[in-house]
Amino acid sequence: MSEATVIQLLEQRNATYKFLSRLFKIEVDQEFYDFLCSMKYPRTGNANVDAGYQKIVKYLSTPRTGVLTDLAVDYTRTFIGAGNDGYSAAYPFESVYTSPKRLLMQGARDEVLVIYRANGIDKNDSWKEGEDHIALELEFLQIIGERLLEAYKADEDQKVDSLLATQYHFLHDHLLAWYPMMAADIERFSKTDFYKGLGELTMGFLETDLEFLADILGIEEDAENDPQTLA
Amino acid sequence: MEENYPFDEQELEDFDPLAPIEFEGEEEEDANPEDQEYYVEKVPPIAASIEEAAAARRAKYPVPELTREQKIAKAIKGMPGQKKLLLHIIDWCREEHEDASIIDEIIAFERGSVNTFSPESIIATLVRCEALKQTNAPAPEGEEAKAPQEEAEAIEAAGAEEPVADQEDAPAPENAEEAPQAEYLEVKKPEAARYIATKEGLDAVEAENPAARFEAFMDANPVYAPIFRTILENCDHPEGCTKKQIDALVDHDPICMVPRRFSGYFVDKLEDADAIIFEKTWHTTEIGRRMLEEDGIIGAL
Repeated sequence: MSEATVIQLLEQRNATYKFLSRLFKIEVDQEFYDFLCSMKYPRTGNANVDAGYQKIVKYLSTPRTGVLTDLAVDYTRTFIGAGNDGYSAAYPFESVYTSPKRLLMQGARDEVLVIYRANGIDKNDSWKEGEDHIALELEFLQIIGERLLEAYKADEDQKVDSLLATQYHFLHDHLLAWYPMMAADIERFSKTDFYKGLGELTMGFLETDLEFLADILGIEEDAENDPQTLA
Repeated sequence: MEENYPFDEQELEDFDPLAPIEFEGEEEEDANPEDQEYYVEKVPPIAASIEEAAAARRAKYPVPELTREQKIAKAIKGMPGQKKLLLHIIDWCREEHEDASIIDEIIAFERGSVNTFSPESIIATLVRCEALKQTNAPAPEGEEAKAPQEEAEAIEAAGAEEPVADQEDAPAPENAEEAPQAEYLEVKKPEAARYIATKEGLDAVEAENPAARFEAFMDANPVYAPIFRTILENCDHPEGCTKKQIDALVDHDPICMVPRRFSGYFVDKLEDADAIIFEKTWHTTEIGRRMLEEDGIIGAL
């Protein structure tokens, strides 16, 4: 693979992490909606990614009134919900899916906070939620990916290996350990193709990226140790 | 002073805190353990989500499906302050209109008044109660996944373009075999949503007869004719009348003492009959002026 191709691939990975992080962070506003309508959605060959992109494009291409209100309502319905029993939405926090009582700010949040700080990253003061929010976990991978790209361009092989390993382990130990459950909840609670598509797209992309990282690092994916099969 | 101890002093001295505790009847329990009731800590059931609880409740207490007429009546009854607006928009949509022009019509109808419902909410309410229908509506969200070929056709039909090979933005690969051209989906800007009134919606508009309603009220309550005349005459000038001015004209009139009525009661009746209209102050309409004529509803009384 040529250097230009590798750089393009790394840039696309970072752009996708940034894109997904933005979609989970807050509702779609006018500026982001205009960006979504002008974007090109690639066919990747991954069934989940392609299905997700198709649903999003289909939703955006369909005539409807008050699309921003429609999306805001579905965002609230999907990720915030109307109940307080811990089972009424696809809560975008790792702690909810990894704690026995589905609470926020549990052990998972402490773990990811340690990882962020070990990599010299901390949340912005304006962010009032937990650090284990999926938007922040995706943004963390984006930031590591940007450092990886810079290290690759500077021929710092050791740093490249270290950052690849950081991404792989974070994906394997954290994001992909709980996101499949959230993806199932998104399918259940969302009523628009837009957020259903987002759920599938994210699942497909994370799986693909884990395979990519495992392939580069020479790690053989062991089904017995796969956190998804253990769950 | 005699001290009164609740316990036997001898028992207190004989008490050994380290001795095993024995309960009365404990030997009987140990003799036949199978016959005894064992109390285990209650394991709470897995919490059902609101969705599951709602589904169970719907199964236990089924809600009858409403007809379209009933849905429309319920929506209008549930939003009494928006009744005139809702009926006006249904009437206006006898012909198909785009959503932007419906929104403009809603804003124009409100004449600068503040409405807690946005124009999009009004349209959504009318669509939900099936008084309006979208003529270029998307397929239902719950449709099953189609085959890839059909899916591509569906996206094309919905307005998105076919996957195109991107030749402009991607950097030229050094080896064409290593980096095949990417295919992309693009969002085609959707056409405006268009709406038209349903037959049941138009029936609701036709059934609305505020003049007949007011006439029936006046037939039953002719005593209030002077009050209505006072309000209509005082509102019939360019500055109109404020609520306070109408209060001063009406609230202390002997006719309003038994039963006790205030200006709002009469203003509501006149507004419902389209005899007065609020444009920063209350103004008499043409319908209101006709009521005052000799052969009008009020003038004849």
